[in-house]
Amino acid sequence: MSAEDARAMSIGEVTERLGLSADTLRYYEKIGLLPRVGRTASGLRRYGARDLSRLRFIRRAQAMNFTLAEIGALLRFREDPVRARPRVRKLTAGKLAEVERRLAELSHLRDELRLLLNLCAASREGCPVIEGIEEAEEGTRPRAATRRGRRRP
Amino acid sequence: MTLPEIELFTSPGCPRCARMRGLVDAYLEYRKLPLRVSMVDVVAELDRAVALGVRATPALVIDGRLVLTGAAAPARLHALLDDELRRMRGGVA
Repeated sequence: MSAEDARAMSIGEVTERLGLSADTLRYYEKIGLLPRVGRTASGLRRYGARDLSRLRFIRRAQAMNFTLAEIGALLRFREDPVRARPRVRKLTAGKLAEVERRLAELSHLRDELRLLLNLCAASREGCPVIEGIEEAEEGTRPRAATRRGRRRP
Repeated sequence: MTLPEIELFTSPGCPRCARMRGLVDAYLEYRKLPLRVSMVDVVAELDRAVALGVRATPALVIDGRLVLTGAAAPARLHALLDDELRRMRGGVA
C-alpha cells in the first residue's frame, strides 16, 4: 500500500471533513467534476489528497455562486493551465475579476464592522451591534456553546 | 488661496471626541488660524469613513486625508497639526 493510499479517506470521512453529503460526492463523480475515485477491493470509494483538493475548490467556487458547468471548466483549467483553450482562459479571467470584486466588498464590510465594534467599545451606552450579533448567534449555536458565550446581565 | 478643510469624525456617546474637538479648537486659536472644524457623525457617513480608513473615533481628517485616530496629548496634537498644515500652502510658517 502506498503512502497516498494509506492517507486516502472513506466517503464518510470526507463528508465529515468537508461538510458535503455522500450523495453530493457521488453526484460530482457521476457528472465528471471528480475523476473516477479509487476503490478498495470491496468496491468502497477511497478519496486521495488530489480528490480532496478538487472538492475544496468546488466548495469554494459554489460559495461564490459559480455554476457546476463553470466549476467544471475551471477545474479543467486548474489541471492543465498551460494548454487551456482561450474560452476557458476568458472564463477564468472573468471569474477572477468576480472574486476580486467580492473580496473588495468583503474587505469594505470587514472595515465597517470593525469600525462599528470600536465605536461600541468607546461608548458609554453599551453596544447595540455586539448585542445584535450575540442574539443572532444564539439562535444558531448549539446549547453548550451558548452557555459559554458572554451573556448580558 | 484655499484653506485646508479639517474634519473630526465622532460618534454618539464618545467622550474623547468632545475632548479632541476642544484641543483642535484651542490649537487653531493659539495659531490664530481662521479655520473651522467640521464635525462628522461617523455612523451617518459610514461609507466615507471606511473609505478614508477611519477605524475608531475620534478621527481627524485634513483635506480628505486621515491624520490621527484616537485620543492624543495636546503636545502631540500640536506637533502633528503643525506638520500637517505646514505642508499645505498658506499653512503655519
